[in-house]
Amino acid sequence: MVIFLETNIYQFFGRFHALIVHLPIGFIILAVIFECLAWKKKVDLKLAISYALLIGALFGVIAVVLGLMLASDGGYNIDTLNLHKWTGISTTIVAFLLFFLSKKKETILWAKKIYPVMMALVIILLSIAGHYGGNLTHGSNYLFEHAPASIRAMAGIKPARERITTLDSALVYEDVIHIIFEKKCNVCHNNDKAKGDLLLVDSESILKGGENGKVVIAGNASKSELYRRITLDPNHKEFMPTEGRTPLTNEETLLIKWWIDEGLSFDKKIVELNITDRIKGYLQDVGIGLKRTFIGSLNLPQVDENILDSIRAEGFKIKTITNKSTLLEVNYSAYNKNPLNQDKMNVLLSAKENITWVDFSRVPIQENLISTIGQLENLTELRANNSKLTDKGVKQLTQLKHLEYLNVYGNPISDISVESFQKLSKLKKLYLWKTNISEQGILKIKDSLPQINIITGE
Amino acid sequence: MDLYNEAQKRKLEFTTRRHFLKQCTTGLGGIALSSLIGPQNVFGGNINNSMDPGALPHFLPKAKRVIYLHMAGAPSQLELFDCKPALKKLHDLDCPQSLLEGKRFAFIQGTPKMLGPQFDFKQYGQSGTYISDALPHFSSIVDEVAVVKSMHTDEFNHAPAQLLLQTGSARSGRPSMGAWVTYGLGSENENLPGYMVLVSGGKNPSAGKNAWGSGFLPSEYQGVQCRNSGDPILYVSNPNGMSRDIRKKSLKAINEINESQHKEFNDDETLSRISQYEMAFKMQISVPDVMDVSKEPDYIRDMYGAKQGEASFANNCLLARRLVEQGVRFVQLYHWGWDMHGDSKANSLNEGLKTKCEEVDQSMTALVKDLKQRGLLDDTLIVWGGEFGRTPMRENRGGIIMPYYGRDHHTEAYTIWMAGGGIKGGISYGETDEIGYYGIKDKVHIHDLQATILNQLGINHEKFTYNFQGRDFRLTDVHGRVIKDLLL
Repeated sequence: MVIFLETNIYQFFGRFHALIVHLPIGFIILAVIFECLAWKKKVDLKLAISYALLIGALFGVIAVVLGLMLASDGGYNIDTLNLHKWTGISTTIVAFLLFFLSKKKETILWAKKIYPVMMALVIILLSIAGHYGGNLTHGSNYLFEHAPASIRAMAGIKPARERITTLDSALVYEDVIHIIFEKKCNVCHNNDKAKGDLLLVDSESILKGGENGKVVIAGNASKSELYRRITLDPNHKEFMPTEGRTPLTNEETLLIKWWIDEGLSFDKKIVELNITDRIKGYLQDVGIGLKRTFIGSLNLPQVDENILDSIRAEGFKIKTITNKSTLLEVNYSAYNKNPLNQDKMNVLLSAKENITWVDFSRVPIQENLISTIGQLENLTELRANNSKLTDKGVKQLTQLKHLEYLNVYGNPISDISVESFQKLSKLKKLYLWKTNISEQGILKIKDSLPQINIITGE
Repeated sequence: MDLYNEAQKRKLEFTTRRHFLKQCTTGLGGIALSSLIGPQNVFGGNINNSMDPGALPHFLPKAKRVIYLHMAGAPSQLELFDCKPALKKLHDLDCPQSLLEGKRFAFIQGTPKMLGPQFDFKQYGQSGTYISDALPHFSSIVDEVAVVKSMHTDEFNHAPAQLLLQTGSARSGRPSMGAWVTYGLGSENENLPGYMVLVSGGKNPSAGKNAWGSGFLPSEYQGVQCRNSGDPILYVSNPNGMSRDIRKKSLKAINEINESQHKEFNDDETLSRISQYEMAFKMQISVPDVMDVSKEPDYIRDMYGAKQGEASFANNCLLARRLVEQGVRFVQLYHWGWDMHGDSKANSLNEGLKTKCEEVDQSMTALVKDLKQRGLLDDTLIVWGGEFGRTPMRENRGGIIMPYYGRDHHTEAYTIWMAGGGIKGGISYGETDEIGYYGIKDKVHIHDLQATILNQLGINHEKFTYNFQGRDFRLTDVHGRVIKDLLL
């Protein structure tokens, strides 16, 4: 037994609690299910039920012993632990009682009467013990973390604060650091289970530190125990998170370093701290300051595959812009022998809401077809270079309220179109090489659309 | 009489077919079992690994196409991009031992001398990027490009280094980057191959055609090499007396036979062959059309410095633009001749390198400008670079002083540039030490470059895999990180 002296033998066996504990649960539930079956189907399962109860109770004893060993190390919320401990022990005792009752209930009347009551009791006890056990392992927020708001309200959990993800107004602790702690650390360092006596749930607990004293020193990440622990070699026994849980990503680690070095603020906004381009990049990785584009805000149902096939049958190439998106990109090959016509365009309109990129480069588009393009309400990019567009045609594009990218180089358009371009308020890039638009025309467009980048070639 | 041989012979006479069947049952059973439990074919090919065509791109792509300008032979970063005034001061001094210990070079022996930069540098553009006098045209577009000065690789010989760059592995047999990309994203134009290769400089790259091979991917994804003169692709035109109708009918018949073969043997390569015949038929029209430089107006040809019928990098740059304009997914250019060891005038830094720069400077600049004015630079990624860099020391092959100035192969640090396709313009990324020997900040490995290229095409390099011989392969194998600081 020498080998056990050098380790914490209680902890060694105690950790098997999480494994063994599922056996009594399974057997006791099996007994209850069999009891229901026997009652409903009038089959004789007496022997099976009493064995299931006995095995469940015996494993219950082992689970209780292992559980007490695990708890001896401390670090758990005492109220939750007590509830879990006593309901667990009661479950085992009631399971033993049920085993004896199941033997006696054929002959003794009071045993027969009390038996179903005890059955109900064991299920209730089992559920309570199981639930608090789960809270001890995963933290009390775990179960309802992703529940819809209405269910959260019913469960009495305060509605989650809506996370701010814009760079200007997000708070450094609430919206960045707290999120990281919740995701990677607070499985063990929460109100139910303060491992190493350390809680990482709010400013008070973080500043208080753990059993070995303070874990963070404002302005000095490299001297902070917390930062040291998360940057150790993952095989080091002091490395955090321990027990093979998902380590922090490089970006998360560097954000914590930045937060400590910048003075450990709990109430400042991100923009009040020193932010470099790198930190901005890291912040984007945790969801702060990502620019929400127009197409990112669209949430459209998928277009039926039959509709897409009918569009393809007209010679268009059409597919979703990414494997998860419902938005579509369309192009029409300049090699196609059949020119674009109204019938083809009408078929295209059957998916008009979802089409956001259109490429008709080098495909002649007659004036009467352009109004159809104008109906693609969510169009953000249009390539119609060398497409024989006229000023009249361009005028019909002004309905495209979300157009950000327009390439019309190589078309016989003139300064008459300047007015049309000025109406495309979202336009960011405009290609006008080999058109008849004058310098003055370009200046006019730039005046009314300050964000625009016009490329005219050399 | 040799008794032993006699005994062997007698013994073999008794060994019959029955012995074979008896003794091999376990082995045959094992083979049968492996094909029952695994999706693999017994002899390495896979039956069921075709990807769902809707599975890519993983996220919104910034680039739809790639033009990779591979300067085979490896240009010297110290003469072109990486300005090192300190190296000038050390010129002709002995190289310190600390830089040589434990290192292996392709040719340098003993203690070489340091070699100062052979061209002067100036700052250009709003970004103030340093460019040497050898690239006068290129200096006008520095605000469009990102110069990466901290590239490093694992291989110091041309062929393995080119393979590492193009296929992610220094050993041959893996699919090339272009094959991966066209396999994943397909072609935008069904009349042209998705992956085309143009070679100039008088010689194929050292890695040979493996550098644009399809490896274990279906062979229709290998790069199609076009010639500079005559038929762009050999036998692309019909022979005398063969009309397009007859060609069509004969291909139809061949494909029908192939289809019945496929039904019988279920080999994917038969399907590849059918689609390649169909592609070849379409290419008879599309390729001569797209490869005809004479269709370009004079001012565009002048812009590139292209001359009709010439096997030049300039022509290839112009062709590359014509190809991406038609929706070719991946255009790979190789330009041989950058291997400036100093062993001859043509291989010297002051003479040969200058000639090489003159060959590429105007045309690569024109390519960026031309793509920009057509709106193609937004979604076409251009990458320019060699397979490794060159030493800050002067080469002393055989321990003697070489007739001309030259530098040996160098893996620790070199420079590439990228433009378009969602890459930031006007930045220099990464730093090398004061003599350009090691990268000291933001080092970029070959696999990181590959991960970044895939990322711009909307592909997560860690999720884009192909199952072959029982394991999932990736272009970046188990390496690679996307260089986010380079991205818009």
